[in-house]
Amino acid sequence: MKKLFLISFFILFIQIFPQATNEAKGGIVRGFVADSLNGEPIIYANVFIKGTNLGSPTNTTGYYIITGIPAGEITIVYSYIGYHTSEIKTTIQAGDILQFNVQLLPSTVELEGVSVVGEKVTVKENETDIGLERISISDIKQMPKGVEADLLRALQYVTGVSTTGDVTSRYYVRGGDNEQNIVLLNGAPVYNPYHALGIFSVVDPEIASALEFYKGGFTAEYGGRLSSILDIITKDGNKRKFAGNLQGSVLAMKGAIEGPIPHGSFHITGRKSYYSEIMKKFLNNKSAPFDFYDFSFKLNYSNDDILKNSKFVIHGFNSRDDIKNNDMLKEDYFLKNAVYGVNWYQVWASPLYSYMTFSVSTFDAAIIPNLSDAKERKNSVTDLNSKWNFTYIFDEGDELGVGFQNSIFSSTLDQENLQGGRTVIDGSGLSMNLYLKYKFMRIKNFGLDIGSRIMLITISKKRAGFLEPRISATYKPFDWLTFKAAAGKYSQEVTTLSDENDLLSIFEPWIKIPDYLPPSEAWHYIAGAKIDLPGNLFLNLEGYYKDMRNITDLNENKYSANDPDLVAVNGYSYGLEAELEYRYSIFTAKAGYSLGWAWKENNGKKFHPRYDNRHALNLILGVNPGDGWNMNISWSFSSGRPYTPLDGYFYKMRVSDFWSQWYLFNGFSPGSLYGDKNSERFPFYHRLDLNISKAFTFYFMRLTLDFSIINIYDRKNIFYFDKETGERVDMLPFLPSLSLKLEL
Amino acid sequence: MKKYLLLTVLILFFNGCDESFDPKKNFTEKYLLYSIIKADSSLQVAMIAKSFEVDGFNPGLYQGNPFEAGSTVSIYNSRTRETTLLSDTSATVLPQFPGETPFYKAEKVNPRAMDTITIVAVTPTGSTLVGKTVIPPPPVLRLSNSQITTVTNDPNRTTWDVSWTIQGDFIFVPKLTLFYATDKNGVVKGYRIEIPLTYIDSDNGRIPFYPSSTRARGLSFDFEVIDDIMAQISEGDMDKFSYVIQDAVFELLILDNNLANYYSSTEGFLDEFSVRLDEVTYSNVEGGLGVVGSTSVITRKVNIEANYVQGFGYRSRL
Repeated sequence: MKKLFLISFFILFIQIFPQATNEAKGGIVRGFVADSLNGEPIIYANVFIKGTNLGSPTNTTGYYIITGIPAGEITIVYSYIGYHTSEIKTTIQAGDILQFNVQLLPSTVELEGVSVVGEKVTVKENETDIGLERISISDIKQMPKGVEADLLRALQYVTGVSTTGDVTSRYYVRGGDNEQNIVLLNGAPVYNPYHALGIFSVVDPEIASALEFYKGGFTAEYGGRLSSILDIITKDGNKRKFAGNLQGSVLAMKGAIEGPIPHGSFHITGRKSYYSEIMKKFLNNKSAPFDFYDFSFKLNYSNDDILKNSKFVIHGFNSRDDIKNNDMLKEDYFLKNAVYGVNWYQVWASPLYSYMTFSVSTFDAAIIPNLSDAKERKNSVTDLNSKWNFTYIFDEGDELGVGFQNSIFSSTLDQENLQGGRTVIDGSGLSMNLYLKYKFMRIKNFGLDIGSRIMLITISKKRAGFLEPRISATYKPFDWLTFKAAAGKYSQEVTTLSDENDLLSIFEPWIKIPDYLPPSEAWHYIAGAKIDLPGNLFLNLEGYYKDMRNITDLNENKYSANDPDLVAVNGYSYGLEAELEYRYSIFTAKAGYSLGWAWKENNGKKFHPRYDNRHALNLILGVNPGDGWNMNISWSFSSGRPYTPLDGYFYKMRVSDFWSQWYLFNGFSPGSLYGDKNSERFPFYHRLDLNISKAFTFYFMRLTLDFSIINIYDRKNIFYFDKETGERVDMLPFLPSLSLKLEL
Repeated sequence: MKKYLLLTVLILFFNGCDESFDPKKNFTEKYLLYSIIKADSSLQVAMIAKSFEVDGFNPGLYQGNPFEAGSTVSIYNSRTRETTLLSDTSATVLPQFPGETPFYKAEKVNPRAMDTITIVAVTPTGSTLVGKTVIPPPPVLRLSNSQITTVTNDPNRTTWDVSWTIQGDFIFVPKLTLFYATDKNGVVKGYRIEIPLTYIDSDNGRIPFYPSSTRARGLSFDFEVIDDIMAQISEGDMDKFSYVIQDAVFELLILDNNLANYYSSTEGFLDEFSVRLDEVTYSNVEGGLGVVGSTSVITRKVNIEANYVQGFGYRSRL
């Protein structure tokens, strides 16, 4: 039955394209928009037909397409903040497909050395994008830095994203656990996106050109995780000339080179830590001999003589963390990621656009005990991925999307338990998913994206379901008001052997969800409104409810090798988010507030997970006074995190001499008695940060000096309370940092 | 100027609002029961303690003795259907607690393998604590060689191996001890030395690595280590013939599932940097905390091959 359904669908899909082309009543304009100085694609540039309501933003490859253009003379307008607007006049007939690849010249403001503060992203009025945050890389670079500019740490300023402490860059989205988020690098998953206990992210903002962050309600082309998708598109590299930059902070040195190759470009980056003592600020003054590096490359090739309107990308990313104690009585660690992939973008003769990716992602980690009490643990993950995505755009503007995505996943966790017993948790499987969606965009003030993922083959033996329906809608009754809503089902078949109780964790192994548990699944329900207020003010309101089933938590009652490592628990979260944005002249101001509740339920007991954040407020003010200066100040406020209270102490029997006749008299050590799990909250959290940067030219070099202060007023925000020692450990203290970037 | 003033005010305002924080909420007194039933002994003991509170967060500052007498504690063996009352008149001195520490004691309680033992304690406040354990069964031992010798015709054999089979989830603590004596001028003195599994080279020289608690069902002793121990016992003494090698004894202590779980939860080791909160200590005591567990021991005497012993210039008991 399923096979018949699929075959029918493909026949229908193949039939639709020629039919649609034949029935075209208007013309089509399409092409790519790029920066004229370096050839980088301009993402979310605005392209529209003058005097009409026809238009489209460019996608993450700089591609645009406008269909249903009435025959006659037209003027195509290309614009993007920070660039000169460009216009093309042409004549179009019904059935014409005209292609214009346009290069925009950065505006004089840019040439004078002032970066754009907070680029306003252009989207279609009826775009079905609730839950999607398009994050500007320039915004991230201008955020105050805790030593290093950090991509995942910057996410913590996004409304609806919370953490268990500002020491870590691990993030939690709308009441979902950290492992429910996926980081995609050019479409390929990165399993461990963190350096050094999760304090920094492995993906350096310098390599990224765009970020798309789905907080929920993502449409049918995305799957595999319950809570969020962070899609990072890396830079193509300068297509005009060779260039490079070097950057140094107190933690690491990094550099990048880029330049043209025949019919394309390359971009190579590298970063290496050299001073781990700064980590003391993050680790409660403990010296941690961390050593890490990351390395990335991207090659683009586009040759119309070989294949017209195609672009091939070969990309790679490597990161490695080592902790070498240089002491045989202490354990050593390593963690490494490797991601390699080939992407093929193709604009076909008909208004069909395809995007195919083939990638392999691996993650390896190990604890090498040497002669310490630590036990050996090794984790190895391999994920072979391919995605075939096709989008056909109809004359009326509607889009038909179909895709085939599969993954061959294998994981092994080999570990020795406390008593020397070895356990190997391995799992592998093939997942084959089809997605089908129709995007109804023909009405200017109404958009509907309806579709489903079809889980043909799943990695888990216990599948979460055959269909994962998704729907997302937008309705704009007035110019100043847009309503948006989305709902959908999501599933996840891989997990980590950790949970939110691991505030800091070196070893966070990924495994296939064991066969004794069903895969995790969730339903998202989101609704919101976007209001354009007078005076350059934009207000975005969203409410959500997320119902999560069979999410994995560590088994707190695992005492022996035979006990399961994981248990399935249920959870749900709901909340409201409000974002207010003001842009005027050299000023950008953003305020984000979220009110949320997150619950987990285990063995009939309900509790708030540690990332449950009742109130969170982020205020950001950016000023760009010109002449290379940039200033950004941000204030974050949130409710205290839940914690388990201390209900007293007791003496634990120590079994130190097994051969003693009198075990009970071996000795006792004090232990803590806990109250109900996470039933109390820490005091409020708040922190003020500042970032000032100045760019200037020095001989033939462009230098950018960046100064940040984290926690200006040195607020003592509690991170955790060690109940065994009575020690209170606070989050980041007053932390100034300086970095210098040199560009050639 | 106004900006600086505002900033200063903000800093002063927020800096002054660091909130004090007390993670302690509702102290409620709880009772603990500890008892480990030993199958190789007729004397069984139990201890009853109370949870406590201190000012501040260092429980080490507690000045009292949390253990107390006055409870009614009984042992019930479901095989014999006998209930034995433990007396609370015994006490011992534990250096970490002031005064004498009371404990409960019963003599002539001889549990056997697979017996289900239930301990019930009723405290002076009326709380009832119940813990149950099943005495571990004896495992079947297998030796790679019934005698210990490192002289072999098989060049691939470099260890003397012991393995065991048993049904169930247990922790094992193995130990191999060499017994020997010196006979000097008619004065005979007996000695024992534990044989390590192997030696590990470190910056501080060679470190002996002894068997520790394990869930593994076997272990191997390096021939090189056995040779080394044999040589070591008479190191510096030219009168090798005065040494009489008696035998070796392999002992295997078996911890029942409750004690194994308790041990796992109290001896956990994470790493130096990771932070994991709220780790739970195992308890199988209903109505309170603590652990009621049991152990059994199996012992096997192993001969040391005579020719091998004589190779060192020693005398063999055999």
